[in-house]
Formats: sequence, structure tokens, C-alpha cells
Amino acid sequence: MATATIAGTSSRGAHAPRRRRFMARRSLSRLPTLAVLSVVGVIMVFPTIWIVSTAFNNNGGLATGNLLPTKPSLYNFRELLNVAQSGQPVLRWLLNSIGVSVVAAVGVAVIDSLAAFALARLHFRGSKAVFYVVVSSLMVPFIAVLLPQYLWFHWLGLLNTYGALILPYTANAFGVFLLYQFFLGVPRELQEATTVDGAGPFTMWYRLFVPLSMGITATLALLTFMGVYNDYFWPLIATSTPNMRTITVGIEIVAIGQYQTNFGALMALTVISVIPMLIVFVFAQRRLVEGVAMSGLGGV
Amino acid sequence: MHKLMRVLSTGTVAATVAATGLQAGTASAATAHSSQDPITITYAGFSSMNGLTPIMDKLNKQYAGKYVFKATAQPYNNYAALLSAEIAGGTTPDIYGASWTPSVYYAREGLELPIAPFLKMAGINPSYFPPGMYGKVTLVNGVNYSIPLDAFGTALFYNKALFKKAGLNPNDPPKTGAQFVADALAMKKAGVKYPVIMGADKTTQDFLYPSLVYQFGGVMGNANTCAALFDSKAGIAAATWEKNLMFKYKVAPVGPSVGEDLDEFGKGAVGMVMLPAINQGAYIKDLGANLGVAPLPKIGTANDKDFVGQQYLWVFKTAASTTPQGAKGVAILLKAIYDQELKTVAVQNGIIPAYSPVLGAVKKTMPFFAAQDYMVQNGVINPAIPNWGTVTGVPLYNNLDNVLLNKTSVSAGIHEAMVQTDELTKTLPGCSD
Amino acid sequence: MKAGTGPASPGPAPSPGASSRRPRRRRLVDDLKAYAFLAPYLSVFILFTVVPVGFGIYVSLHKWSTTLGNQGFAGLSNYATLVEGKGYYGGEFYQAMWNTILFVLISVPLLWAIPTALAYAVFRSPAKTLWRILFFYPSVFSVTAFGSAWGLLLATNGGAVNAIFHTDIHWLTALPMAWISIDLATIWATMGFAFIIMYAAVTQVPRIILEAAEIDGARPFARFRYVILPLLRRASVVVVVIETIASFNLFAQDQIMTGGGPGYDTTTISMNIYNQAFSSFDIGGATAAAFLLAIILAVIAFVQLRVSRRGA
Repeated sequence: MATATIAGTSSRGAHAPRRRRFMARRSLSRLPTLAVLSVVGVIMVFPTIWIVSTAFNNNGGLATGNLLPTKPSLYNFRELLNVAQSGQPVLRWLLNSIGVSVVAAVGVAVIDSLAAFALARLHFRGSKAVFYVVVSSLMVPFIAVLLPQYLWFHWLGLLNTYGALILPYTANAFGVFLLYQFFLGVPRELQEATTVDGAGPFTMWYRLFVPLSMGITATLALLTFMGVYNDYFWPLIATSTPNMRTITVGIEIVAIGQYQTNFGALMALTVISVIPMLIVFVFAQRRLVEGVAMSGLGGV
Repeated sequence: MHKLMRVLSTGTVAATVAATGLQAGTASAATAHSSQDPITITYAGFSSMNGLTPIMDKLNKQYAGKYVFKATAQPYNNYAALLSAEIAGGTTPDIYGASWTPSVYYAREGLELPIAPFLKMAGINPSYFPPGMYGKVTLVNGVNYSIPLDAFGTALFYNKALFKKAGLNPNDPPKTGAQFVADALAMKKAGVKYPVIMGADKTTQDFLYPSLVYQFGGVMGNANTCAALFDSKAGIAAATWEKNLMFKYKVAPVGPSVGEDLDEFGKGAVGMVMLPAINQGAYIKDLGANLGVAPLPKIGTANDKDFVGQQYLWVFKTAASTTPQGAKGVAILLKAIYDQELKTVAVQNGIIPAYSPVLGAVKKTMPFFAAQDYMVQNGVINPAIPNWGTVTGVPLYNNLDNVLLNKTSVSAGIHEAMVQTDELTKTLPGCSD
Repeated sequence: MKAGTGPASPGPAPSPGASSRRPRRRRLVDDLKAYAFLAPYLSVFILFTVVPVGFGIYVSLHKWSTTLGNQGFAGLSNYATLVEGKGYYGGEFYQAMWNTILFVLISVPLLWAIPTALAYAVFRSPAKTLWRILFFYPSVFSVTAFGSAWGLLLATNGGAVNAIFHTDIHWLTALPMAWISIDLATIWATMGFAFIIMYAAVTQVPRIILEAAEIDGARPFARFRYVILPLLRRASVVVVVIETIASFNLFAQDQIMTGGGPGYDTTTISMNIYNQAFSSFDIGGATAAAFLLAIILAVIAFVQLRVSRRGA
């Protein structure tokens, strides 16, 4: 096949000198773009400065609208240690959150990939109906099924277990929708190539679609991880013992009272809880984007 | 489309089957306990349970094998969702702690047990509760179901340094409405940026508006008819006084955002704020010696009774509490909570134990004790309308918002608030008749 | 990792062996194979979506108290009360619905346009990794965290924003600004999702097309609009549909930042539903309101999907 450069990879090789000249001419026109990006970047960073500075501020738990701490100290974090020792297992909450989020993310990635592949690429009776039912389930606001789901899990005897914290998230219609759109964009030539080789659908999925979709599936896994990690309502009512709680519920217990919110503790806990997600994201993001670039959502 | 309907109806059939099984679970069925198993007694609430840990440990050691006592802290946000789910699922806590009017809701639903037998078993003497917080005022359908644990008033917090700057005596907080305005004007003249900030949201108005209504001689509502009654001369006078601070005397800024009075006072930028006394702890930390605490000035003409925030305890009908052994366990836990918990929590935070034997222990160490005690002893709780002030406050704050932003006139705003409150109250149990 | 190919062209005609020509038994086997792929998803879907939703619909047809359970069959009266605007929640239904629709109309286009523009801009700039991290990371914060943060930064008298710009804007307590503030906070926290998807789609655009357009001398914006944008259609569909659904479910930010105010002006339908379920303990009515919302959302999403397909 002709060497078509794969979109998104850096320019190397025989064409480089011409490209470099080409880019140099355009470098001046980049300035407005960079300016806009910088302004937006500042807006993105702005509240984080506040969050971090409130975490390191010792203001009696009150908040200020100031950007920088008025009384910088590690007080909030020390207080968290006290909280942890007095029966609120903060570390356990963190581990619970991370654990269930990882399991749910991996589960969703696999299950949704299988389902989306079938919907997008296999011809079978009922495929349209299944697709519409799945997509229409996205429309139901979670609040409508909060209590029915709770009663259902109670009946199943699964309340206050890890099952309750993981299983409801595995039915992720958004993932199916996303991967479906992606798989539709995989060129048919590739699919024909594997069929000609005599491969069945599972092999086609495993050897062709999965590697091609690594990036978008990883994106889905990351988004699922974040969604499960930050979910509040369902873990709130599904767990009743301190050891089973997740970090989002724990934050509310520790920091938010009826008449006052302890913003120092709230932000300190937020900072701690955000670190796992950030680590995952920073390491994953390069791979996410380059992986997705291999034939995917762009293009008709 | 018909395929969609088919899938939905199949699901509904399956769900109905599940639902009939689940309905049995919505009533909290009493299951048989073998008399050898230790009975678990749970106390849940959304205050921090840290002070209780040593007590629980002691109790559990003392009654090992007979009872297991647990204290669970729950988040305040969405606590109603959590508690409802527990009740629906049959895992209701035995003792619950929250403010007064939510307990009225559950009592009217028949989910609570009368409290008198527990008081007897625990040896808690009801005459030790402040008269305004227990007795006739807390009857629901003729029975008392909940008991006050602690309370805190609506305080006037003021900044002594800013008082001095304006040439006012820092140890002489205003005692009447006129003095209040005069002090604020003096501070304004001296260049204080915010002599007063009026909070326009639930944090402030939950406490301040009812206080003013009572001071002007009005009432918030009638428990027997579930009617809101603040659209009266008193209610309008109360809202007008608040509005005047912003538009007539111009000593308070217009349109502060949620919680701004709370935060700005902590920064030392505001001369006076009127807020729940429970914020005392944070302010002591921030302002130290510059903090002044006093009861609300006598703004209205009728009396100086102000609204008092509180925490009540009550006993739900559960598998444990409806048995004699379990009831004894509940009584044991109640006594322990009353004897011990509040000593540590109360001291800094402006919370007064509502049980005088404990009060004595706290008296000597609590800053501003005299002012706090006065507020609680003269305090008024909300009428026994289910969830009043917590849920039914929403139309009131929203319309007060409009009044304080000058988007509607005072009389129109208060009237609209009352109409909407009545509509909302009608949706609550025991009030829809 | 298998090598990718050149530009994805509209596929050739369906290969030989299209379904209409398969023998009956082969079709059955193919169907079974397909359902084998679907089995894991369908089982969790039925167990954890269909059953709760079905039960929810069942609840909405009854007078169902949150704490006391089923109080009797009510038919469609829960729905009728809302549609007719009767009672407290019925009266608030339309206001809340209108507030929500307003929010959706404003924020969804922005939640698509801004990430797309940024994705394109980042794609053509140096230091891509830095920008990608910068624009995505706010998504890690929970609603409580970023709602409180923005609420306090935009506070009228003590907020950093008013302090830095020396303005006195009532960001949270006056009407157009209140929605702008909520939109700002929501876009800040959620555009990472759309950004990451649109960025991936942009990197997919074949370089040949990009360079051809540049050589043609087309102005940058026209280049973007007529050449690049159509190639992002599929990704855009996903983003717009999901953002619409998410925006209709706006629940926490407005409560934290504005308290639903000024007045009732930023109270959304989710809040209404929640209050009806857990403050008035009427879960029958609340579920009915939620399913009404679901029906409206389904119609909108259906229209969006249809429109996107027509343009292809």
C-alpha cells in the first residue's frame, strides 16, 4: 500500500525539511491562537488555585473568596488524621472508591466493546430494536430510579456490599453509544480483509476492532472511572457502614454540616481524592489520543 | 416502536413481581430474636459522632454479649433521601437525631414510638428541658415523640475592632433596633466597608426572619391547621426592617451571594451580622478577642423571643426498639448520649445542651455562656408542622430573595411566600386534609 | 498494534453474503453469535437498568409514599397533576422545566463549540500535552468541590473575581449573570469530556486534506468551517446528545452556587423532582415527573439523531 502518513503522528522522515519551512512561515499566525489558549488556560487553572489554597488555609473552616491563603498551614490535613483515628476511615474510603471505579471501568470497557461491535458490525435480527432501547435508557434521569434501584438491591440482598457499588455502573449505555459510533467508522476494507482470512466474528473483534479501538476504549474506561469515582447519590444510600463508604460520601460526612460547611476540610479532602484520578489521567492521556487517532471518530 | 413497548412491558411485569415482594419490605417487620443474640442499637444523625466514640466503647464493653451499640454519622446533604431509603428498606436506625420539625413528619406517619416510656426507663427527667422546647409545644397528635438534645440561638455577632474604629463602645452591643441602625450608620461614617451584611439565603433567613416575626408579635404558622401565618403585620414589618437596612439606611449591600455574610464576617470585614449562634466556634478562631457575641437586639416591639435552632432525638419503630429488651437498650443509649456527649462539642461552638444537669458542667468553660444561655432559654422553636423550616422554608427564602433584591414589594413578596408555603405544606403528611 | 490506513472513505457496497441472501439456518447461527456478544451487556442492562426503570414506571402509576410504600393505584393522575400545573409541584413544574430548557439551550451549543474550537487550536499549536492536561483536568473535581469554588470566587462582595477586576457584578444574584455563572462553572468542569473526544476526532482528520486546504489559501476560519467540521460529524453527534442529556439533569451546581435563586429563577427540574421525592416524600409524583422529563429528552435526542443522519 502507498505510504499514507497516519494523522496525528509527528512529522519525521523524508518530508521533514519542506514541512519545517512550511511551518516557519505560519509560526507568526500561531500567536493569536496561543494567546486564546493561554487565556482559557488561565481560566482553567484559576479555581484550582482557590481549591488548593483553601485546603492549606486555616480559617476556622470558613471560606474566603480570596485566591491565596490568608493563614497558610497544614492544619486541615492534620485534622484529617484526627478524623481518621476517630472512626472515620478516610483511607479506606479512598481505597474503596479507587477499587470499585477500576473494576467498573474495566468491566464497562469489555462489556460495552462487545456489545457495540455486535450492534455496529454484525447483522442480526432485532439489532435496531436493541440499539434504540439501549440509547433510550440514557434518557431516564437517575433520580427516577434511585429508590426503585435501592429497593431492588435490598431485595437481592446486595446492599452495603461491593456488588452494590459496582454492578449498577456496568450497565453503561453511554459506552455502547460511544463505541458504536466509533466502530461504524472503521473502514470496511479492513473488516473484509479479516473475513477473507476466514475469521469468525469473535476473532474479528479481538484481533481487529479491539486494537484499533484501544484509544477510545481507554477513553471510555477513564471516563467511567471518573464517573463512578465522583458519584455521590447512589453510594450514599447503598452503603451504611463506615468501612463500605466511598470517598465522595465520606467527604460530605466530614466536611458538611447542617449549618456550616468546613471548607478547609472539604478542600483538603478534595485535593487528596483528586490525586489518584490525576495520576491516571496524566499517564494515560498521551496514549489515549494517539491511540484514538488510528481510524476512528473522524471521517464519514 | 412496538418493539420498544414490548421490551418495556416485559420489564414492567418483572418489576411488578419484584415489587410485590418488595412491598413486604417497606414495613419494618419485627423479626424474632433469639434471646442469646446481642441486640444491635443504632444511633444515627448528621452531627459528627466523634465525641461519642469513647462513650460507645465503654458501653459496648459494659454490655458485651447483651447489646451492641453503634453510632453512625451521616452526611447532612440529602439526609432525607438516605433516611427514606433506610425506612423503605427496613434498616431504620433506632435512635435518630435531627432538628425538630422533621421528627414531626415521621411521627405523623406513625414511624416513631412515644418517648415517655423511654424517658422513664432511662431516668431522664423531662423537667430538665427548657420549657420552650419540650412539653405542650412538642405534642404531635397529643403525644410527645422527641426530646431536645441541644440548642443554639440567633446571635448578633459583632466585630469589636470595627466598633472601636467607629468610636463605639466595644463592650456595649446594640440592644434595640434603633441602636443597631445608629451603630451601623456610625460605622458607615467611619469608613467601614460593610457595617452589616444581610444574608438573603437559608443560612440566615431560617433564623433571622422567624425571630423578627416573633419579636413583632406574630407567629409563623399554626400546627393544628398546618397553615402558614406569617403574612401578617408582624411578617411584613419583619421583612421591611430587613429591607430598610439595604435600601433606606444603606448600611448593608444589595445582592450578597449565598453565605457571604458568614464568610465576610470571618474575614473581619463586616461590623455586624445576625446568624445562628453555632458559628461561634469558627469566629473565635478567626477573630479571637475581636469577636463579640450578644443576643439579637430587641428590634420588634412585642417581646424578645427569638428563633432557636435545635437538635432533637427520637426513637423509630424498628425491630429492636419494639421489643422489651431492645427498648431497654435504647434507653441505655439515650441516657449515655445525654450524660456525656455534649460537654466537648458545646464548649466552643455556641451550642447549649438542652439538659440542665449537663449545662452546669459546661457553664464554666464556655465562652459567651451568658449570652448563649439567654438565647436558648428565651428561644422559640418552629410550629409542629411536618418539615417546617427545612422543606417548607423554600418558598419563604425564595420570595424573601425577591423582596431583598427589590424585585417585588414587601407585601406582595410575603403574600406570595405564604401562598406557596401553604401549597407546599398541603403535600406533607397529616396536612393534606 | 495494527497499522492504520489512509482516509476512511465511505465504504463500498455491502460485500457478498449480505443478509438477504443468507440461508435461514445460517441466519439463526449468526443471530445467536451476535447475541452472544450482546449477552454480557444485555444481562447487566436488564438486571440493572430495565428492572429499576420498569419498577420506577410502576411506582409512578401509584400513590407511593417514599417511607410508607404503596398507597394505592393512581393511574395517570400523577402525570396529570404535573401537566395541569396543580398543587405545589405541578405549579413549579413548568417554571423548573423552562429554567432547565433555557440552561440546555445556552450551554449545549457552548459545550460543543468551545471544546471543538479548543481541540482544533491545540492540534495546531506546540506544547500539545500541556494544553490537553490543562483543559481536561477540571473534570476530575466533584460537583461539591467546583460548585463551592466557583460560588465563592464569584461572590458579590468577597469574591476574587470582583476583587481582581474591581467590578461589582452580582454574579450569582441577578438574572442574566446567574445563568452565565452556572454555565461558566459547568463548562469549566465538564468540557474535558467533549474536549477529549473532539480532539481525538480532529487528530483523525487526514493531513492531506489539511494541507490541501492551506495551500488553497483559504482563510483559517473558512478552512475550519467547510473542510474540517464536516469530518467531525460523528464525534459531534455523540458529544451533543450526551451533553444535552447531562444538561437536562443539572442538579447540584445551581443549588450550591445560587441556592436556586434569585427567587426561583435557577431552580431546575431535577431539584423539583428531588424535593418531591425526599422532602414531600411523594415518590409516586416525583417518578412521574422524572419520566415526563425522560419522554421529552427522548423526543429531543431522537430529533438530534435524525437531523445528524440527514446531513450525512
